[in-house]
Amino acid sequence: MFFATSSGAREYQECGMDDDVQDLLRRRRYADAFEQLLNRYEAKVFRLALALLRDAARAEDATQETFLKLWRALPDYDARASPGTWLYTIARNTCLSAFRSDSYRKTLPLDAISEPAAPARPLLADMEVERCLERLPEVQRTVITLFYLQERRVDEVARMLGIPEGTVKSHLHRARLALSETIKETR
Amino acid sequence: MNCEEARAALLDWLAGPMAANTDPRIANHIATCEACRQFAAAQRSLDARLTAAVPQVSLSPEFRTTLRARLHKPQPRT
Repeated sequence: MFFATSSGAREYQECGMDDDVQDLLRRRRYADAFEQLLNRYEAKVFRLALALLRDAARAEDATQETFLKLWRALPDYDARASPGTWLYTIARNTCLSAFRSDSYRKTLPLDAISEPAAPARPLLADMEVERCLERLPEVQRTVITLFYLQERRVDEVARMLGIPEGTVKSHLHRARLALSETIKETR
Repeated sequence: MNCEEARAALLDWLAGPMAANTDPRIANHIATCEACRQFAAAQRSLDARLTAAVPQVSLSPEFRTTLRARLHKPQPRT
């Protein structure tokens, strides 16, 4: 293969992963389902929150809020998306609400709302990648985070964000090209 | 296939299921185009770096204790 990539396992990893949770939900065993989702996704939700909010304390708050909302919403789960995908949607919406909240606005000038504050300390092991990600528009950063750091497939990202798969691909392409250029510029 | 088409197809392939075979036209184009070969190499490097860019920060040890305290009520409807 002329272009092997390190993200090749993505296709297989989520298949059937949440079937056990769906089964628990069908049987209304909400506490058990919640524990499974917490064990499986708390670190991933936190990473998503970190990527969106760029602040560990706020990301942890958003992760708490996400799981609280999940707990309250479990009886309403309608199986249209997998529980994991549904949870990511809750997480992303929670982060965006936090991002736009009055308390956060107080710490930022209005014109900086689309650009999160730089983290006090590096959040990623690769600081150059982190700096470049910070320069992306929010939607591109979210798509890159979900696709790479969370290893979600394009169709899952589309469902989480409520946008067509083609739009996800388009954001992914633009983000990759922007990142390549930014990395090249810093060399 | 020209350079623009090859690069678009390459990016599409990167966003798709990786088990799928690559379009032989992309491979053929890249084999004969140095600029696209470099583009592909840059994308491969970026792909590896993004995949490896795992956050260093983790949840605090109190996370679950706090969450469970907050979960205590309200309970979901049954």
